[in-house]
Amino acid sequence: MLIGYGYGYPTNQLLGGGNPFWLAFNQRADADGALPAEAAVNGCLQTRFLNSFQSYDFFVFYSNSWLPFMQRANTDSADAAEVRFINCLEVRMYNLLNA
Amino acid sequence: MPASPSLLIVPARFKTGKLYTQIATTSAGLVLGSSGDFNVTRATTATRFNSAGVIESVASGVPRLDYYTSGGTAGCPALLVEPSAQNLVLNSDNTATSWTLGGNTASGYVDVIGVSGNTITASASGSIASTVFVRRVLNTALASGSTYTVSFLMRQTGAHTIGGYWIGIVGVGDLGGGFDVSGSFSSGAIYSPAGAINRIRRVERWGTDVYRCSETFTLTASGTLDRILMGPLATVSSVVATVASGTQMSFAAPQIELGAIPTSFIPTTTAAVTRNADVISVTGAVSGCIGQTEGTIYAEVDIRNLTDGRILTLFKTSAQYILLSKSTNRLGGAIIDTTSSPTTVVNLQTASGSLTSGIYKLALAYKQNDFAFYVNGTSVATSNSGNVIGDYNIIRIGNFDTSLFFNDRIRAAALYTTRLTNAELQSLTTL
Repeated sequence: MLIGYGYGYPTNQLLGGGNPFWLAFNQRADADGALPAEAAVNGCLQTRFLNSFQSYDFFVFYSNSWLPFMQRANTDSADAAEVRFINCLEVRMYNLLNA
Repeated sequence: MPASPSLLIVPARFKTGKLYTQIATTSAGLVLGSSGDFNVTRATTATRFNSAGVIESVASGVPRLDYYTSGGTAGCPALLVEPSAQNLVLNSDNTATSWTLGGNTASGYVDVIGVSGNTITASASGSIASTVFVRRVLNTALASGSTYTVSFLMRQTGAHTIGGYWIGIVGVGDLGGGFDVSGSFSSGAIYSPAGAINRIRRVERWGTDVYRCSETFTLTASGTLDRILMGPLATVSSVVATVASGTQMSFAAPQIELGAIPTSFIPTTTAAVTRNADVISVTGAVSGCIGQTEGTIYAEVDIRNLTDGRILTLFKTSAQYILLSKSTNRLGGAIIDTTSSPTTVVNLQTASGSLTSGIYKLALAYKQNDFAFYVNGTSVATSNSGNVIGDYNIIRIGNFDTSLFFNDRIRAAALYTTRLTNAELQSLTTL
């Protein structure tokens, strides 16, 4: 099984000191002309964001590995396992990575 | 099984008409960019408590990140969502303009957390009933059966800690209250007309030596709001008790509004001013982020006002929806369908009377015949009976179909397209 890592996020974001998802969110807001970020944005609000996940580790896996995998397959018109079994396959992959 | 949110918003970035969502991914795996962001409508300016602990105006259409936290200190901000309100007090943003001083009173300008106020000093001994006050004439009809709230900022400038307000309502009588901001706070009625019932007084700290005092009352007779007065008091329950010469308190940001709580300050000059409601929602592709047959709806909120309000709503029609809500005394999670019988599919709530001010994390998990409601890491209620309607296509934050506004601060909200396990609900909602 090929497993992507850090998919979709430039290396400089991963090395930038901030959370890559938070950085990407702010870059999108900046590009869209959002009002300048206030001091709390990269302080307590970033912390609140990270604490809002039921499982942040799983979200990282989902965003960096599972979601790009599914998107690539969809783009290639791939068939998929029955919908109600998708989640268990996702978890199987997650467990394999974290074994 | 771990789960990832299909939608997660921690209010942090914004511009006119828009509140940005951090995560929005449909169940089909489509990552939404701008189509996952919330639309914001409020066609008037509004005020917020900013990061410096100062009240400042926010432009029309801009969502309010409000930094007010417990104790009146500026802390990590949250999204303030309020209904429409109108301040009936004229020249509320500057009590030195068009206000009249009592005879034995000296006045001095003072900034009270960003609002122009007056320091009222008794230049000779007297009572608020005779001389020691600042007064503004109004002329506004008040309706019998309606509930109103008076509020103002009071700053302690010396050793004295007691001040109050007094409004004259022609046809009802004088109504007033006193507030002692020392220690654990206390208050009392200084005028009690028969035509005003259900009176509730509050004191909240809004900064160093600054307090927001308020009183809510319901009229049993109609009348005309004639005037408002503010001044230092000798006691919280006597308008005629004499204050000594030199007694001093500062006042600013007076407000009289329809409703059961004091909302954010609305500056006025020569006419009453209305602040429109904060209407925040998203529809369209984001419906793919909603669990239509099963899912979990989650929010983290800072509750300070015990009023009816909606926190987060997944909306199909005004008759079919899923929501997290607060009422005057409890939190709830419900799936409603008033088009069929029984009309309420599931309604899970905390115990009546259990709600107090504070931070809450709450989640409702739903799936056919399998529902659970968790608050702050504890299972509140479950149900094993009911269906999920589906076809929800609008997500509303802090309101229900442009009504029942939350009147408080929302720190985060999230959706999952699976019914989280009870262990996950416990973990997600633990403070």
